[in-house]
Amino acid sequence: MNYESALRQLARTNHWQSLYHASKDLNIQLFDNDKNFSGLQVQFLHWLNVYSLLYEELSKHEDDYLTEAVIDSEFRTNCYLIYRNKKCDFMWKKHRQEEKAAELKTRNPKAFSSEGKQQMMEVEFRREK
Amino acid sequence: MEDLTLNEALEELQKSSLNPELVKDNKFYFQYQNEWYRVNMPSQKELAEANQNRNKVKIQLLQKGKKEGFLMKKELIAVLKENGVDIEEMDKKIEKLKDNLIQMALTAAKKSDREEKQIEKLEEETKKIDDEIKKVINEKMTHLTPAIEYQSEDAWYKYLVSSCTEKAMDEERENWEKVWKTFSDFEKDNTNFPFVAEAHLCSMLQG
Repeated sequence: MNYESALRQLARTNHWQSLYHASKDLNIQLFDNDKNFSGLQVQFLHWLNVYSLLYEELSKHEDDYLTEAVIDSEFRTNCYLIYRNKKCDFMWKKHRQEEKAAELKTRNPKAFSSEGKQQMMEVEFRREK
Repeated sequence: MEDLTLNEALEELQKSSLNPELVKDNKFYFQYQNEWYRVNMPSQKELAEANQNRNKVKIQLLQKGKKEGFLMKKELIAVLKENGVDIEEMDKKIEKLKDNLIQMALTAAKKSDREEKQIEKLEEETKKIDDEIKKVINEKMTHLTPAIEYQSEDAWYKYLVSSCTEKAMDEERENWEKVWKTFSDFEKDNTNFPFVAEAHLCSMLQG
């Protein structure tokens, strides 16, 4: 049996979103137990966190593709989360590349101070088939 | 979240009454033939005992070995391949279908709220691929279930079902008693109930 849909519906209600925020700010306990969480509870906490994050990003208009209708549809939320992960990966790689370029510049200031264009590129070596 | 209209607020109330019992504690409540039962989250002691049972079964099956038809997963995969069932090919198929799902999700994620028809179409196609993945996984598992790894895993679950399932002794559901006093009582139970309880335990553990 798959209870994911029921847990997600519950997690995006005002009631549980408010409780979730209160639990973080005021240290309120969400469940009767405070340890040895069941798989369902762990999954529920995951979705509480995901929806809290999405509602926050929605309120800040961080991404044009994120709308209230996206959050209301489980299919569209799944798709958006995949897109969001890819976007974060891309941003992270770009950030790492910029860091590497800055590091190279500090190590070899002469090379970068000479005239002409410098380019940085990533080279991937693959074994010949 | 934005302010709610009366209808939306009523809908919210309805949603919040959506079976919060699923998560209120680390137990899973269910009805079977008009009686209330629950499976509890196993304690450290129960988990240790279940592990012992799993190891015991694994060693027994390893000792019986090929002579009595018990194979490790890797060996079973090789035997299946000789007989025309290619598990690796099934894995590749699953990966390919998952890649398709990701591509479809990336297309759907960029659709605007106005493009309802296209979103619906993508959702239907996604469901078809999802069903196809489930079908291949089911087929794969049907072939692999006899493997020693899965048999011993099953013994682990069965032990937990036997020790974590309780029955309500009153209508108020305040007093609970173990359904099976010992593992041996559980093994003697010929009804369908152990399977029902096992399915609920799996749901509770894995979510």
